[in-house]
Amino acid sequence: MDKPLCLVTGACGFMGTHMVEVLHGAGYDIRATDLSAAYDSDDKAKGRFPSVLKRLGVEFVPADLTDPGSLDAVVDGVSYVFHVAAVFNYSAPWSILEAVNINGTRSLLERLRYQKAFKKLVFWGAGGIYDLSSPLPITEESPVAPANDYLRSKWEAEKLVKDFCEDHKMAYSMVRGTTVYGPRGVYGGGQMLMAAATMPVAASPSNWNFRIPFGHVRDVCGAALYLAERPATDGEDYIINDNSQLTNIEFFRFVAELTGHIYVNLPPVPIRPLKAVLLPLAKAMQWATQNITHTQSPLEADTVDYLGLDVVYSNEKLKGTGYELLYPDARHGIAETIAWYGRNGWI
Amino acid sequence: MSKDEDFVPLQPNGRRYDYTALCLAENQELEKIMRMGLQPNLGDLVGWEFRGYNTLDITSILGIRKFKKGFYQEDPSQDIEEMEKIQGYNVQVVQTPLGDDWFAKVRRGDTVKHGWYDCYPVRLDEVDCKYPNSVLINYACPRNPVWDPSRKLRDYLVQVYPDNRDLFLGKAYGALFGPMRLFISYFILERMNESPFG
Repeated sequence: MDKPLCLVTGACGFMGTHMVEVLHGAGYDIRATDLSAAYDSDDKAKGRFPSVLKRLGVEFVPADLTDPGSLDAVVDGVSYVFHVAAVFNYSAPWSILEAVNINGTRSLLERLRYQKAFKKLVFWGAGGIYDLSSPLPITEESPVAPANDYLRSKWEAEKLVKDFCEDHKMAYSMVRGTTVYGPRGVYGGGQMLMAAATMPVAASPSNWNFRIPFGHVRDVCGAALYLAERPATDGEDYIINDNSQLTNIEFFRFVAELTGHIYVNLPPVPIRPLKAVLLPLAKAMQWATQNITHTQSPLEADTVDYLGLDVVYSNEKLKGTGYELLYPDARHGIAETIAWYGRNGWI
Repeated sequence: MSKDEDFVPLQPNGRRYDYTALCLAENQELEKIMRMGLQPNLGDLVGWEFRGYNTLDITSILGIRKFKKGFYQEDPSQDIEEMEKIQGYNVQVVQTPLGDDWFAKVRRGDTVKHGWYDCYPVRLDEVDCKYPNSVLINYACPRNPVWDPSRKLRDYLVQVYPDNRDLFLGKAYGALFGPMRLFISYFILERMNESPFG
């Protein structure tokens, strides 16, 4: 008997390609969708890797979430939907975030509502939506306080999914990845790993012992499939984070030792004054890259905001479902990912 | 073959040794196992990497306490049962505490391999035949440059238990002048992952 047809949105991106690979490995029929232009050729700068889909021979139906009509062919006959697609960019203007992340999700939901084969939607939320100054560890019940427009758009989209699906009796689960990293990761966690792996001398002030949350992309996608297959998880949200609680110092020291670079423990550096210096600098760089060079800023104000925050997420709710993490210790995933970056000439 | 078929290495508490217990064992206990251990089957080693731990404390300072050893067949078309020797290499790993995992260091997308060697059952007509019940790991092979000091290393390797083909004890010597050999350290190997060389 054929396995149900799965739809992956944003399928050419970092998360999307991994989701496709996970589904392919599990033997599902897959329909992948993304912008038509995203399917042309791999583009590291834009985080697009259609060669993964082509290699697997996956059906590709182009669509644009901001063009509702283009979604009709995409949703036809699908059972499970992995809605990965989103604009993930701290520098993106609200109008774009709203159009894609919120209104695009609404358009997709409206079309899924009439699909007879539809079984469940897994929606990609964001672990960063919480008030990160909340008591640790942060759980699914911690207060939400999105710190930037991107996170606000993801939270608004989550609320939309919840309301819409409950109103129309559609099954759904949310996955909220934290610092997601893994092969093909360009932005966020990937940016951090590449920067750490290419520092000839890694250094960290001795007082920077705040913890960094990590979740491997294979665990985000593996958990998404696991939740899709289990009706008991319907209507629930899950933080996807590993067991490790690496501090900033441990992270940089580990990457330096892994790559054979020197690690230097610096004298304490107060974080608040540093942020006061970095924040305007980051804003200036964002303005310049947005308006002059039209590239991604290497330093963003929202990233600076995270500096010094001691963040620990609980993954007890996810583990309570019976899901077993593929990468419970981030160091194994970090080592593999850095090796992948090296093999592919990214670092 | 073991010299004493009844010998079963046990810890002072009467339990069988596991990897960690061997790493922490006294030299005299390890020496007993070296003498009584079984000669490993080359076919059990080929195609695998093993996590390794040197028992000599100073190797921590030198950054070589933890390591990995891989074994492969230079000519995979030959029947392993008929092979007289196999080949191998060492892999640099991050020096974490004993109870922590082994993480292979990475350069340009690959693990850092060095200290290549030939591995074969000890030959009684050679100088390095101190443990006839072992296989010799001989670093004096052409894959190491002539100036590489690792060419001076000679390791003996025995299987600790007949029913455990994953756990091995080794003893490393440095070849000085002629037949002179200097004991360096015991080391413990345990099967970890497949070798990329197959």
